[in-house]
Amino acid sequence: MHDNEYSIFKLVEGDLDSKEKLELLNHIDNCPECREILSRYNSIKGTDKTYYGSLILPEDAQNDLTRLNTELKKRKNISLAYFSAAAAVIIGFILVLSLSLNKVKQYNQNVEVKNVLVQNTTNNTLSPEPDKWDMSVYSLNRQINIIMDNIAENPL
Amino acid sequence: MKNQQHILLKELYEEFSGDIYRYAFSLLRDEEEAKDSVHEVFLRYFKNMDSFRGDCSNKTWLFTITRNYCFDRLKNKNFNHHKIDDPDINDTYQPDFEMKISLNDACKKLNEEENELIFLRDYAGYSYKEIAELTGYSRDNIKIKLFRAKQKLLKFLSE
Repeated sequence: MHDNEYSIFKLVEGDLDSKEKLELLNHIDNCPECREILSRYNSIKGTDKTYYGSLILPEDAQNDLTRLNTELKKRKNISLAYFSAAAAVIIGFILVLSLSLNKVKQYNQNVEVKNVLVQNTTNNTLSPEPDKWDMSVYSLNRQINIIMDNIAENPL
Repeated sequence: MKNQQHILLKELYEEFSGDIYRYAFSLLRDEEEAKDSVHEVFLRYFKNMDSFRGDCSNKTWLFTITRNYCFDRLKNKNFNHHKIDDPDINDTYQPDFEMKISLNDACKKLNEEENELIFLRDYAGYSYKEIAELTGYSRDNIKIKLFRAKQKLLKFLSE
């Protein structure tokens, strides 16, 4: 490789500052070998441009635009279908979750009522199955029991 | 919306399909593969349009997609790259330099990276900065790679 080859390459690429450029050009003026190298690099740069410029997209590919449009539309529809399906699944999941939560809440309430009734039954010697009772009926019954107990304890 | 997409596709296709084809060809060295690349690149462009933040030009983004697609193809299909390992680039050129083989044949002897750099620099007119952004190489690295690619090309042309 010639000593100046990389500098000549940079000159063709427009990658030298003005001082370097001037020095190199002065040298090239007096050096046939460097002139030859410069001519090769110049020629190849132009040839590359012409070569790639001459490559034309084949004519049948010009119809590709229609095919692309159709394919993009198809993809869009598929995406929409996927999106709808995903949305339906999510909504379904939320509904099931909310129903389950309600059930759990209701169950917890029942258990709580049952516990209160069982406790009260124990305290007041009530025997009925409190969880099957309506609260109001239970309260009424409890009042009656208390009154009956009072009557028994304090006969007229 | 569909109409907008159609108009954008038409504009981009008319403006860049040729350059995408040439870029893909510089990497794949196969006309049919390069033609298929154009189709796939536009599909990928529209598929990923939402992720395009606009921090580079449409051309650069299309070139990035082309590059990724072509390197995937090269990896998957085990292309024969006609790589020439370390040719004797220190050979002195013949003074009566003639192009004895066509540039196409000479390019086939370069690897895809060398062809890519020559295409981007000489045909597409990209600056070193733009090539660095596209390829991920440093500017200095690109200069050296391009220099060596051109040395090789000149050598093959003079053989």
